[in-house]
Amino acid sequence: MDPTADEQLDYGDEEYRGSHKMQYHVSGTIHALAEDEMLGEDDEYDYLYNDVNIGEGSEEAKIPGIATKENYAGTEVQFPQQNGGSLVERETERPADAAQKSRPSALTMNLNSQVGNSGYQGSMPMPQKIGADPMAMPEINVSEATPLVNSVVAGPRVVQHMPSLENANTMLFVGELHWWTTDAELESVLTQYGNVKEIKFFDERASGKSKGYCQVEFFDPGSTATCKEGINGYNFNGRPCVVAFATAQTIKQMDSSYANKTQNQVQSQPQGRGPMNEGVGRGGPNYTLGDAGRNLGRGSWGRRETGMPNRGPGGGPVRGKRSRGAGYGGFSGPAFSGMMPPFLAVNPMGHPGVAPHVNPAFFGRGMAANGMGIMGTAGMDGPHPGMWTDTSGGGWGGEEHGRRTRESSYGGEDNASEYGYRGVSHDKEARSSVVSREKERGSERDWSGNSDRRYRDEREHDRDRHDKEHRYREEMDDYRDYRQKERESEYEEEYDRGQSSSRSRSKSQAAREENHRSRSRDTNYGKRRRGPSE
Amino acid sequence: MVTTSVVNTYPLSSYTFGTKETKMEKDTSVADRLARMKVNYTKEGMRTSVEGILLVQEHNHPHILLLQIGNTFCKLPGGRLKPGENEIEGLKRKLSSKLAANSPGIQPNWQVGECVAIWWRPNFETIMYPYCPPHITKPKECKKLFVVHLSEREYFAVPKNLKLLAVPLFELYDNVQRYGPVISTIPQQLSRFQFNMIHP
Repeated sequence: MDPTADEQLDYGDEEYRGSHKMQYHVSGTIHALAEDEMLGEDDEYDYLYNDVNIGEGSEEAKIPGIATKENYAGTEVQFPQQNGGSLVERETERPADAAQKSRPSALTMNLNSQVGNSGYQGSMPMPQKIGADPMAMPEINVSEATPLVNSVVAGPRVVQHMPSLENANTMLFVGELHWWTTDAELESVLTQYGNVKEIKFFDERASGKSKGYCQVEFFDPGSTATCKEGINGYNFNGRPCVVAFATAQTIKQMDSSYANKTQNQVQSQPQGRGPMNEGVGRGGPNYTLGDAGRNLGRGSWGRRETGMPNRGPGGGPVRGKRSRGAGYGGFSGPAFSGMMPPFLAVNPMGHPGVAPHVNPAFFGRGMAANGMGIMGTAGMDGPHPGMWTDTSGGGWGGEEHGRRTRESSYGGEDNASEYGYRGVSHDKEARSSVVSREKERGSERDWSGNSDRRYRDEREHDRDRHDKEHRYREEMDDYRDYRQKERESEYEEEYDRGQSSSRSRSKSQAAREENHRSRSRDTNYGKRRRGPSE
Repeated sequence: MVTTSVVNTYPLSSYTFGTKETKMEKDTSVADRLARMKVNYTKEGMRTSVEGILLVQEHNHPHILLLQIGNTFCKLPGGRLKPGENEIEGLKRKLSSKLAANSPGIQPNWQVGECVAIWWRPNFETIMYPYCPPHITKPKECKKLFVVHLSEREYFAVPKNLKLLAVPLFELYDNVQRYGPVISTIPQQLSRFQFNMIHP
C-alpha cells in the first residue's frame, strides 16, 4: 500500500550521496590539507564554468555538479574570478568556523553551501553559511555531484524542473527550526512575503516529530526571493532559521527522504554529522567512516532493514550497485577495510560523545543503532557477505572480528540506556543462578519488560539485532541467550510496510510466540523450581 | 452514552450473522484515498472519523469484531462523519451502514460507550499518531475509537465483499505488522475495562 522498497532505495540514494560527500572529505582528511586542495579546485571551478555551456556528461563528479546548476548558468561566466576570490575567503573562514560548529541539518547546510558556491547572490549570508558548514568545498561539490551524476547521465533532467534563472525558483527550504515550531508560525511569517502555495514539514515517521526543516513553495518567484532574503536568520521561538533555495535535486532528495519511512535516520545523521565533521578535521576518521558507511549502505539495504544496519562495510556493495562516482567508490573500499576495526572498537563508547547535544531520548535510537549497526550487518544473510567479499575482504574480516568483539561486550559496554538495561539484566541473570532463582526471575522479568519496552522504541536498533532475539521469557531458559525478540522489530515496523522478509519472519515468530507464551512460562517455572532443589 | 468501566460481553454464538449486498470501498488505492482526503479537506476542513469497538467473548477472552477486506486488511466498523455531525450519532449511522440489515425493522440499538482512543493524521499520508505532533496546527484527520456495548442478541448483516472476524485481544496485542498501530494497540486501551463474560 505504502511506500515500497523503491522509495527506501531512493532514500538510500540520498544518504549515499551524503556519505559520498563525507567520504570525499575524509580523503582530504585534515583541514589544513583540505584547504590546499580547495584552492586547487578553484581553478577547476573556472574550468567547470567554462564547460557549462558546452555540456556535461564528464566522468568527473564536479563538473556535472556545477554544470547542472542551471541557476548559475547565465551568470557563471562572470563568476569564475569572483568565485575564486570568494571561495578563497570561505576557505579561510572555514577552519575558524568549524570549531564553532553547531550541528546543522546536514542537508540544509548542503543546500546553503551549494547555493553559496555559486556566489550569484554575493550576499553576506553566504559566507556565514559556508562557514557554518564544516564540510569542505570539495564535499559540497561532491554532494551536488553525486546525485547529479545520475541526472546528468539521464540527460537534461533538471532543466524541466527548474528554469535556468534562479528567479524562477519558487521553492525554499527553511531549516534550523525547533521541533515545536508550528506550521502556523511559519505561515504567519511567510505570508508577509507573498502568497504561500504550500508548506511541507519534514517529520520523523516513527514519532511524527518535526525534523526542524520544511519546504516552502510560493506562487511567485519574486516573493520567494524576497522571502529568502528577508527571512534568513529570522528568529523562530528564539532560534534563527536558515533559508535556502531549493533546487531540483535537493527537492528530490527531500521528497525521497520524506516519503521514506526511515526518516528518523536523516534526522540523526545530520546531527551526528555535524560534530563528526569536526572530528574528521581533527583526525577522527572513525566517526565519519561509520557515518559514511551507514549512509552508503543504506541504499542497498533499505529494502531489508530500515537502513540502520548499513554501516561501514556497506560501502562495498553499494558501490557495486550504484554506478555513481566511481572515484568515490575507490575511496570507500580501501578506506573502509583499513578503518573498520578501530571504528568498531571505538563506536560503542564513542557515539554518545559524538553528538552530545543530541538528546538520546530522541535520537538515541539512531545513535545507538550506529553502534549496533555493524553487528547487524554482520548478521545479515546471504547477499551481503557475498557482496562484501567481492569488494573489501579485509573490511569483511575486520567486521567479523568487530562483531565478535561486540558480542562479547554486549552486556557490559552498551552505551545507551536501553543497552544499559540489557547489561544489567544480564548481570542479574548471571547472579540469579547463585541466589534464589525464583525471586530473581521475578525482578528479571520486570527488567526485561522494561528493556523490552525500550527495545520496542528502538526500531532500527531492533532491526540491527534481529538475529539476536531478546525474548525476555526465553531468557529464563537461557541466561546467555542474547537473541533479540523479532516481534519487537515487528512492533516498530509500520503496519503497511512491505518488508516481506521481516514480515514473514515476524509472522512465524508471532505464531511461535503465541505458543511459546504459555508454554515457555510454564517450562520456565518448572525448570527454575527444579534447579535449586537439585 | 454509557460511561461505565464495565463491559458486558456475550459469546459469539448469541449473535446471528447474515449477509447483505456488497459495500464497495470508495477508493481503489491508497493514492486515491489520500487524494480524496485532500479534496475533502479543502472543502470541509479536518476530517473526523469514528470507529466502533464491538466486543464479544469466547473462552472467557474478549474478542473484537473486525471487518476484513480482501485477505489481509482489517478495519474497525466506522467511517467519516459528515460536517457538523454529532460523533455518537455518526457512529451509529456508520455501524448500521456497515453491519445492520437493510430492512428498517431490524435496526440494532447501538449502545455507544466511551471514547477510548483518538488518533491524529498530521499530513495527507497513511501515518497516524495517538497525539497531534507539536509542530502541526492543522491535522488532516482525527479518528476516534468508541467502545460499543452489544446487547445479548443482535443480528448483523455483513456486506458480501467483507468478512466479519472476531479477533481475540491477544492476537492484536503487539501485532502492528498485521493490524497496524491503531488496532494493535486496542488491547492497551481496553485494559482498564472490566469484562463481564456472560455465558448463555
